[in-house]
Amino acid sequence: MTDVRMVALDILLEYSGSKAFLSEVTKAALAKYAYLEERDRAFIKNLVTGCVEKQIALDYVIDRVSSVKAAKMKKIIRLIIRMAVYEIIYLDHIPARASVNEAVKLAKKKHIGGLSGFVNAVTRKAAALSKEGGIDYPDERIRYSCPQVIYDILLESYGPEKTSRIIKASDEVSPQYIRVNVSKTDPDSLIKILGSEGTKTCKTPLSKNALKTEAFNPAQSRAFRDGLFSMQDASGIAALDAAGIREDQRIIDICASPGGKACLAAEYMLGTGKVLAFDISEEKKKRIDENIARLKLSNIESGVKDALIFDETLENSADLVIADLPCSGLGVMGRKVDIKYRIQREDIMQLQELQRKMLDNAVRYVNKRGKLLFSTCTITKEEGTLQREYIESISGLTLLEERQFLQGVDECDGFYYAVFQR
Amino acid sequence: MAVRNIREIGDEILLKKSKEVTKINDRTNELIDDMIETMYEANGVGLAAPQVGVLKRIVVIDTSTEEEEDGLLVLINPKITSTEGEQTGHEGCLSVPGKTGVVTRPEKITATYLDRDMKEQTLEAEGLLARAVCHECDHLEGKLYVDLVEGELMDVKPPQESDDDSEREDE
Repeated sequence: MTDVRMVALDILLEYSGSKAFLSEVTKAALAKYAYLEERDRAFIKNLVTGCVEKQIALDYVIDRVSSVKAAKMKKIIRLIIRMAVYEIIYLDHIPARASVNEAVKLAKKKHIGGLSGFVNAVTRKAAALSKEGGIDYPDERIRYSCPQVIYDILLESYGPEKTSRIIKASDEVSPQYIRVNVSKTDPDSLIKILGSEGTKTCKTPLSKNALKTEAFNPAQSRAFRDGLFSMQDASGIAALDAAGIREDQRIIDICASPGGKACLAAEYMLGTGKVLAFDISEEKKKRIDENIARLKLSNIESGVKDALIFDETLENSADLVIADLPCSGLGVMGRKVDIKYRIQREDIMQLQELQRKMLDNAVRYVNKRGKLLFSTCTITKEEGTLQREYIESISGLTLLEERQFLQGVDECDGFYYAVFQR
Repeated sequence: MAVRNIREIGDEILLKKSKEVTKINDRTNELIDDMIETMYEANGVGLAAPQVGVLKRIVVIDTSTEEEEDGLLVLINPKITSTEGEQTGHEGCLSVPGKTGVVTRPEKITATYLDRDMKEQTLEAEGLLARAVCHECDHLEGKLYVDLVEGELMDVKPPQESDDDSEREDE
């Protein structure tokens, strides 16, 4: 039998020594355990994600009960203890005693049995502390594991009340939405179809083509395989709604992978017009192609193209240019749990600069009555409202509308969009 | 319906001119519903679309007090066609939180606008409602009341909260 906690520990060890994203390391590792049941895989993912996401809060608890600070521990010991403390605080269905025992066993299996007494003592004390009526964290930043850099950026832009809601929402389970493929079905029919598959969905004020769903696995849905819907947050759908797509348009998406917005644009044109969906590599193009195939769309073509290089054959050619650009991702830090630990202030400035270089090209593809949709899945001003003035200054395009969604304030991911017209 | 983020002074979108509405679709209706909810949630008497980031000539106004009947107005492409008299008094703006200033406006106005069915309507207003229409129509031109203030822009004193603790001092 496979020890699921051992697998989780190995993933965390590998992640801590690599530059790859946690989701990539986890996916690659779990591919080696193809025989594991879905339930075990979900547990491993939960453990690994939780230990990374809630690491600031976990280390605070460990430091409260341990004579050696978490930061000073051997990496493997720190990870074993974090895992147990995560289970104790966040996973109510596992008895604390079991989490303590498993941590001790893990230490022995990893041939650091000499420290098993220490692991035992620290995790036991953490369990006692947690049982005494919860843990009193010194502040929300630590409770919700928000790194200081990110916290300061949010506070400067949004003030204490909204910052509090943002970091809380980023630490909790994000709402899940699906996008109705309007070229194949309609919201009311899809609600019925998914209901018959056992998945409850409901409408949302954010977009009439988005449905809010409970957590479910789309891979097991026939309607998903049939291309009746896609997984996409309501914020991104609202952005495409704002672009006011009509039939028979020519639309260019300069950073399209995995193709969510480009495919939505194609769906909105109901088989007419043409969407050109570009991204920088074959690998990224493949992900777009998978979505096109599943959704059975005929009015979209993918291609490999670097958004930083101007393509004169596209000049003045598009009724709509979609520029959903690389960004700091702070709007989705609740979904991609390691983003918050990677982003520094300099990165945000560099991303702003990168986006501007891409926008320089994007605006030139807009035809004489055309529109530009600029969007980012983040909540910094540098990658949102501050780009708006830049776009107007370089292009002669004028703003029609813009919106900044904040996770925890709005019922969706943090996301910015602005629509311009020539 | 959803509450939208109100743009505050310093955001250049408040200085931009809004565009005429040519047709009402689902999105426009959704925007109007959101504006109404946002205005009520912020305890405002009026809100213009650019204040929620949309450069469309739409304003919502409700100057009625709780006892009065529904006074909600939705004005699309409003135009003030005539004015009469003067009123001088305090004004505030959801986009300039915590501030107030004295502004002189016409006492009476007549305005034409389109309602939610895109039917042309005429509004005659005086007093607070006239002031609100002028203030919101200025937003559609990218103008803020702070440029019209006579004298200084002042801080609004926060309403005094009843202090329960002080009453318990003798206990």
